[in-house]
Amino acid sequence: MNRLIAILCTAGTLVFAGCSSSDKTATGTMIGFRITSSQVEAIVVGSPVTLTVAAIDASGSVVTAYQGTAQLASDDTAATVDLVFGAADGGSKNTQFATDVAGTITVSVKDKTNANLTGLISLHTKNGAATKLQIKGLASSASAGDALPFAVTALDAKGNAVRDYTGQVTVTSDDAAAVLPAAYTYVSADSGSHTFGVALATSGTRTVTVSDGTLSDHASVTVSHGSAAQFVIDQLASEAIAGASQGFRVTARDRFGNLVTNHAGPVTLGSTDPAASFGAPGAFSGGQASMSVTFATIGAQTVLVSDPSAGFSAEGGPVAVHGLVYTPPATSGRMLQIVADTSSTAALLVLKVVAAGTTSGYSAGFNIPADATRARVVDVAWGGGPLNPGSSPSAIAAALPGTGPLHDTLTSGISQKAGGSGAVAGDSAIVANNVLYSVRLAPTSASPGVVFDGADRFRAALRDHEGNEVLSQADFAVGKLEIQ
Amino acid sequence: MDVHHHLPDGAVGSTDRTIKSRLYGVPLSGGWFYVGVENSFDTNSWVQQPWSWTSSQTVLGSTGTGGLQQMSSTSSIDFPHDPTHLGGAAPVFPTDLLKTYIVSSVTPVDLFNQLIRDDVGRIFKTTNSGTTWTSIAPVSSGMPNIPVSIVRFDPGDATDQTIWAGTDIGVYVTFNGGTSWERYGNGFPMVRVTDMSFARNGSLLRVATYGRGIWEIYPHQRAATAAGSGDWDLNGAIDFIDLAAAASRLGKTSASTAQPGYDYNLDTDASDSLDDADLTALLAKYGSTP
Repeated sequence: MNRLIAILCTAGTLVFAGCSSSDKTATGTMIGFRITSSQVEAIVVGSPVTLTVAAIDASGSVVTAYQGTAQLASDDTAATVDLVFGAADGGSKNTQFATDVAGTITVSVKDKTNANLTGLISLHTKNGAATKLQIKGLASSASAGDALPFAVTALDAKGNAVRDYTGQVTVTSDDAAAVLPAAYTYVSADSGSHTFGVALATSGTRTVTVSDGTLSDHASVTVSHGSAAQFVIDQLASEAIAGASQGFRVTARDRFGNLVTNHAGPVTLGSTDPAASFGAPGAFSGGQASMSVTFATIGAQTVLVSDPSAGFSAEGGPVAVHGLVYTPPATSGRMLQIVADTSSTAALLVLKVVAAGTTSGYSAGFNIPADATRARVVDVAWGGGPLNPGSSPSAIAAALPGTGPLHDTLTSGISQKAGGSGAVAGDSAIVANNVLYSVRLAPTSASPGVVFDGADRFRAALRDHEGNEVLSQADFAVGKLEIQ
Repeated sequence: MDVHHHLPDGAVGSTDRTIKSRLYGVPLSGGWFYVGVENSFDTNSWVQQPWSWTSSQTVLGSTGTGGLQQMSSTSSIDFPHDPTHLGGAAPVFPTDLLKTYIVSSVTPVDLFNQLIRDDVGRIFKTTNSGTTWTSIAPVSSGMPNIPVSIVRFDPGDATDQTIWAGTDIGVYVTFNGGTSWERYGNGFPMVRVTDMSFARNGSLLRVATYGRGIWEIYPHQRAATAAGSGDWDLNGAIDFIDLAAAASRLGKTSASTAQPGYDYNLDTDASDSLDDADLTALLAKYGSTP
């Protein structure tokens, strides 16, 4: 039985004719390609599907005679595949296709010689199972305390967001002072990605790590210090000697305790010791500066370092300050007394040899057993008293040696000179309250104890020009000197 | 007859220079001595113990061509600062302190009524408590063969090389431990010296004479032959005593007669003049060693 087939034979005229037994079914002119897939929906990324590319005519029939080269392309990649149709292909050719991209993928084909011959198909792919977590958006550098948002996305092996990821992600950091978010369990609305936030506090290279127990990722952030918000004082000894410069270090830190390396000061210095003095503040270098204080008052003292602009400050100490304390001699009525001048401080004791009555002499001096580890002689001064030591040189001296034949002896003396510059021929009159000379002593130890005690044996004399002792030890009154 | 006590250096047996003992020597007739050590007056560090006398052997003049001569009488005794200066044993308290000393004799003849020979003289030393004796003042040394009433180490000479002798014709001195002697001082009469007394540092010598009263001289006023240490009182340290001594003598030379006079120990540059340079040198050592 013959079929009636309308055959477009000539343009403009439609002719119906009966077909004979010799008539054969024939394809028309190729109009393009038809692509069919072994799977169109829910293709797992990476899983290959079979695409069948057929040359078709207008009726959709395969143009079996097609022999050409069709170029297969997809919008998920720039790569192309050439399909070479041979006679044996009968106008249809299979090829394997896989994509790493989840979503709708359009695969197209076109004849390489006739760009009008095309075809396409849309394939719908979906992500694979989560194989990693990925941190995105975390700043590579920040200041301490900055809020740092970042996204954590669950990815499959091909890098596609795992939209149905429901793991619980925990954020940690090697910065023990960091402020971290609570663990978060992903929901479907997250589509595999959730935004977290951290605040890192410790300067340096810090690591932020996310993990669901199986999958993880980490990122580094270079954390720099913030602005100075506090001072830290160290290297200040717990014990100090009055009058001795005491060094200490000031470190500028931000509110998290990070060294503020670019802090430049200035600072203002103070102390609980109203008589304390300070050396010129050292310049900040690397956030640190060296300072010095000289205490002058016995007791527990502190230093106060302030930033005059930002208003923050730090207190160092307490420092136990030790110095010289002289107790005047209890013995009264002796002709020569060793007393402390009113200008004396714990740091600088001025001992005066003072006459209590009228006498005369040419020289005077004393050797008092004393602890040379606790004090030293700063200098000795005439002061314009009745015994003129002359000049070039002046016949006046004092020492408290720690070694030698006079070790641990405070020895001092003054004499008029019989010749040379400032010569005085004979004895000079001495009246009450005359100061023969003075010796200044400074403490050298922070260890409390007695430097000398006038109750101990000592040697002292006031002599005349011939060397006769006008006054001897029994005529001297010596007090007690201590480190307190 | 001289009963003499002596204060040895306190360094013996102790690091403390403070004097801790006294040595006593008593010349006896018959040419021998009693010596003793006593430390009971200061028990600062040494063990207090009763002291007792120890007798020497009779002084026998050293061997010469004429053999031994035994002194019939003795007159004085003195102990050195350090026995080793006389070849004695190192001083170990207490008994070794008594082994070394010098003595003098006024005897005209020995126990056998023989004149004392020139090679024996009348000053002797012993380093073994008087078991044996050595003459240190034969005539060949410059000392006349005459009685010596008193012999003394110079307290200002820590080396014990300066020894003073009071003879029947004045004061003699040796500066080399007896190798050579010379009559000391100008203007002193040819008279017997019966006793001598020194200032602690040896800067003043007073002598008692037979019938001519008391005389004094300042031995340290002779011109310095070497740089002085500045240690005027010779206590081994420079302190206010030395400072006063130097300052009060500035401008003095060995020819100065006014007191306080020149002292060679203060002449630090041996210039025979005490001046500001000497005072400067002394001040530089103040509180330290000479």
